[in-house]
Amino acid sequence: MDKYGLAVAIIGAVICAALAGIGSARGVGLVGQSAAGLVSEDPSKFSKALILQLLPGTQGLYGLLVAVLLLSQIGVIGGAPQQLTFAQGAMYFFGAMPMAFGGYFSAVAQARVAVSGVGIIAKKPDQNGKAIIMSAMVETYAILALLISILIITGLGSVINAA
Amino acid sequence: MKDTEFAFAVAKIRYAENSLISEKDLDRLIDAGSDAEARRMIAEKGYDAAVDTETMLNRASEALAAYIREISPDKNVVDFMLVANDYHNLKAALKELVSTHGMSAGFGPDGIVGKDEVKNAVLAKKFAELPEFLRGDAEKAYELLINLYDGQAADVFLDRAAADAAMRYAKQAKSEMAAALAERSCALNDIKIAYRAAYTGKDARFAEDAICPCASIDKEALIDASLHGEEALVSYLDEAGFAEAAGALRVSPADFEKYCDDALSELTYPAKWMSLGPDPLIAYYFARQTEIKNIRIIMSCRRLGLPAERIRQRVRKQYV
Repeated sequence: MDKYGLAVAIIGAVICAALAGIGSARGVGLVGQSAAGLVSEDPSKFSKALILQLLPGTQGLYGLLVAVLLLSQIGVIGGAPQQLTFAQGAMYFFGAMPMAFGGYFSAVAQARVAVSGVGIIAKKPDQNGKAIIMSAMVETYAILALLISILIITGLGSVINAA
Repeated sequence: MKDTEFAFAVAKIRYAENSLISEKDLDRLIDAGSDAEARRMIAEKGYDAAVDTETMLNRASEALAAYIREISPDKNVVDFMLVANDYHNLKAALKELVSTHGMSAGFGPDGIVGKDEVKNAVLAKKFAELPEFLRGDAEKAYELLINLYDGQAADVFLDRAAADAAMRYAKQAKSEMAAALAERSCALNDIKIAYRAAYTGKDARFAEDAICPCASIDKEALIDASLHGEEALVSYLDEAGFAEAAGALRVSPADFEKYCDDALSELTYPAKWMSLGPDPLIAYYFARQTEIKNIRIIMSCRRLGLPAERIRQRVRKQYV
């Protein structure tokens, strides 16, 4: 089993980047549709709608960041892959999961809030700051997921490299 | 269909809601110094005031349905409301067909199909050219008119068929709001028929034929109450959970009509806070139709010279 340790860790990085990326793609796509509806009626609201569309895109970046960090810790980036036991690979795998799932679900939830925000811009454009703040509140949980994934992966790296 | 597929359409609707006529605008319309001024105010809201009021409002209604179809991913989302126009136009076409004086009956705006399509098929007696949902009903109504010379029976049959069709299309719309609107509309229409039956002393057969079954009304009990007169019917409504409807009926039929429209409008209010799904489109369609109805009421009342306060009493609640 121990020969699969590295593979399990890489799968963790793949899932993290993919799930968070899918969540962001869905989110940005959904808000984009809504923003396009508004801009087709009033092109002057493009910049306000664009900010809301960008917000669910950050989870994809966080997923990418965690995947790169993980791959760097296990030596895949740098050309010297470590020999990991299955248990070590599994620890890296689970370390990436908070960002994978937190990223996916927070991006989708944030998109729905941002779509409501597009409605606010349509009816009361001067209140767009509130629409952005409400949507940004969902970002908190993506950041918490990012934080815990970084702490686990960097902590694991220190422990495994020291051993 | 997923609610997220409506994101584009709902954003457009949110913007379009800004141009709905508000209650303040209606007040200004009621208080306008002359009909010319009133028409100018209506034109400012995007209506084609170059034609007569009825044509203007029918065109606005047709343009509204076309707009919803254009932007909605589900092209049939408001069919459960449009189908009433088809049955109205079918009735008008049949009346024109059997009229011995070549009288042109009052056609309404287009429904699911255009009024000309309905009119041409009926006047040529080519019922097979009508869309499937109208074909059988048109043939049966025509039989009633030709064989029994019973215009009222034909009208009752078509009204009932229209209510059935609305319920059927509402189910297809896969929207809780559409289902609730169709159900409430059917129930209120049944009450209207029962009251008319009680007022004119119609027999049980009339009510049995005309009242459309729906979940919120006990049809047999409603018919039974209507046979015992207006007061018995109103008392029954009090006990059957329609106390507000009963209260409005006690005041006047006009108040009841207003109550019906306002009660249906209230069902659409939750859509104000929905960002996805078909409900905001349905609510906007209903709101714009209410606006059209209000303009019709105000312009008619102005023509009749009614005082402003009486016009205000008849105006329906606006969505915004």
